Amino acid sequence: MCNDSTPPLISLLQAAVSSPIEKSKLLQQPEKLREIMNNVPARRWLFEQACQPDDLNRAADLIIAVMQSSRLIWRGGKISPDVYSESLSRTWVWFMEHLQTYDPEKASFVTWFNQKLVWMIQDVIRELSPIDDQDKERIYQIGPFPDRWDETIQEWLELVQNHPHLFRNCRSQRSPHVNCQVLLIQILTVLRNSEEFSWKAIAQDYEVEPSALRKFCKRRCFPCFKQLLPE
Amino acid sequence: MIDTDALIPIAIPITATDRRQAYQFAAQQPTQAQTNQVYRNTLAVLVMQRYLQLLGIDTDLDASQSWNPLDRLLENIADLYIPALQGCLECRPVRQGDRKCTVPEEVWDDRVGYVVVQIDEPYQEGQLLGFVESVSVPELPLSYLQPLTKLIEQFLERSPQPSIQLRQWLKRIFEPDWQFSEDLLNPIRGSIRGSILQLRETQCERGGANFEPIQRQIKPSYHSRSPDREQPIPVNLIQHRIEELCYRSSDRGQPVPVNLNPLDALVHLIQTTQDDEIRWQSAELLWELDPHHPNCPVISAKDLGFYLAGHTVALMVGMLPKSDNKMLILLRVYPLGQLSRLPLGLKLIGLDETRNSFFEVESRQRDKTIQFKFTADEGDRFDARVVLNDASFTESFVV
Repeated sequence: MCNDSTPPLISLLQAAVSSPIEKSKLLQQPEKLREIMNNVPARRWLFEQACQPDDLNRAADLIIAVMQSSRLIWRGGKISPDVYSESLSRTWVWFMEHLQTYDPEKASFVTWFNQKLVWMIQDVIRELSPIDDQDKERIYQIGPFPDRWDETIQEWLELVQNHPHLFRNCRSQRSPHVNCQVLLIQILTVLRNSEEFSWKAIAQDYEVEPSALRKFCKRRCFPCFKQLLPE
Repeated sequence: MIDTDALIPIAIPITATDRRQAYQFAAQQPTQAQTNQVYRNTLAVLVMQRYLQLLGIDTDLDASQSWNPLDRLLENIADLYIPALQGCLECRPVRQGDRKCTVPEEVWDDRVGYVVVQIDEPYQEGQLLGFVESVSVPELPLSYLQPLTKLIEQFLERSPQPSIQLRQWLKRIFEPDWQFSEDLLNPIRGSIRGSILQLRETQCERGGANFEPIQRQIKPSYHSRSPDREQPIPVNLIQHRIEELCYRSSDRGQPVPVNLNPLDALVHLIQTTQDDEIRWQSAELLWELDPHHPNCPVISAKDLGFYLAGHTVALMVGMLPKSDNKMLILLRVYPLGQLSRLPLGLKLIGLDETRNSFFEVESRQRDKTIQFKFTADEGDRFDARVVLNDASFTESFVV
């Protein structure tokens, strides 16, 4: 029975355990449920009720309903729906089996649940990833070797030299004098001649910051270059 | 709450195709050392890609620097672009027995995280060892690794006051407090019935559709659906209502083909009309006639009595897919139970993502319902707020 000294959240829970109408009223209010989840005395009360053997089901049912209606259980988001729903079901099974080991002082029911949910996702993925013994194709155990280097770098250099039109729109806004095609030829020549490559040395030629030059190359020039290559 | 299996590696197979890809990239390097590094880097990225694929997470190799030959030549990189995180995850390879993982300075920036992948000959599988969010040392001790669950968490929806995802409703998945319930939805049927019965004395001109078979079309399903309900609406009134909608559509230069039966005429209106009022009314009428029809709107409602100081009104949210992945959204407030009219001065307000009001409707004397319709794009967010005096209710939605 509730009396005047009972905290209001616990009074609500007491009413909800004993009356289906009060329970459905409570479950209509997600904010109130979140408050209950975050309130240590309220969840301690719920946990103690759920642990009493004679009344186990009602309080445990209320805990589950409160968790679900609180909308605090992490949702699938970008995770595959199949993986998520399997993990979610397994987490509920685990939750019911391990409710006795829950500690209301440490975390809310939902936090405890969510942490386990992520581990369940990991377990489900582990099971989904059988090591494939059927893979009999030749394995490149030895090597690989840099066997195509000379022809590769020569091909790339010629590609850049022969397609000036592709680089026409590739310009640095801050340093318009930096020409993408010339820059790429310079870089590829350094590499072909097996000279030591350094952003600093090239940046000095253009009188720009090495970090800015590197950024420009990686964001603009290299993607342009990639377009030249066959798929 | 630390699990004992916290850092058990996850084994992911490496296929012959992966090895061919890695070999191809590796062969384009000038030295044996770089060749080996690129081979292992490429496999680490592909192993991580396969793991994310199992999770259902999209990746974009083409947007990854490790998939650009010049980036591979100049820097020791193994990044994998993940659109959902709008950034690159660095996948660093290590060997069995290694106690540290090399993390070159060029990959300390511009990364959403780092995973360490153990890869050994004969390159049949990779072991995912763990994750860290940031690195700023050239040698990362493997004891610093956190479990991959830290990465998985980033893909889950974890916001503390989650919005209602309306697209879930299309799959008939409703939040517990937005469950479909006859008590809440019968009054909506009542309002549709009301608008149909108002037409009792109205003479409508023919809108174009052929209504000969309407008796056979509507009667059986309509009568069998809810035997315990009020008297069904006379079929000729439904016919008039559909004719009226067709007529209004023709009036706007969009005639409805004459050979359509009534349900198909409604579907035609829903799919083709430029007028959202006609679209919604057609959809509502279809829902009334056959709530399981695939072209019906999805409708749910919530009793706001607990929020509005005991005033028993409901907020209905209806959603109807339009072309181009757009949604027609209808918000309506209507009375429940004994109330036949809304309390005076009750407001329905829509707030956009920046919490600015984009509409406000207020009930006047004797209003039965107030409502607002708008079209939203996928991913749009809005709040629906119902205010009565000092009391209010707000719910957030994502389209």
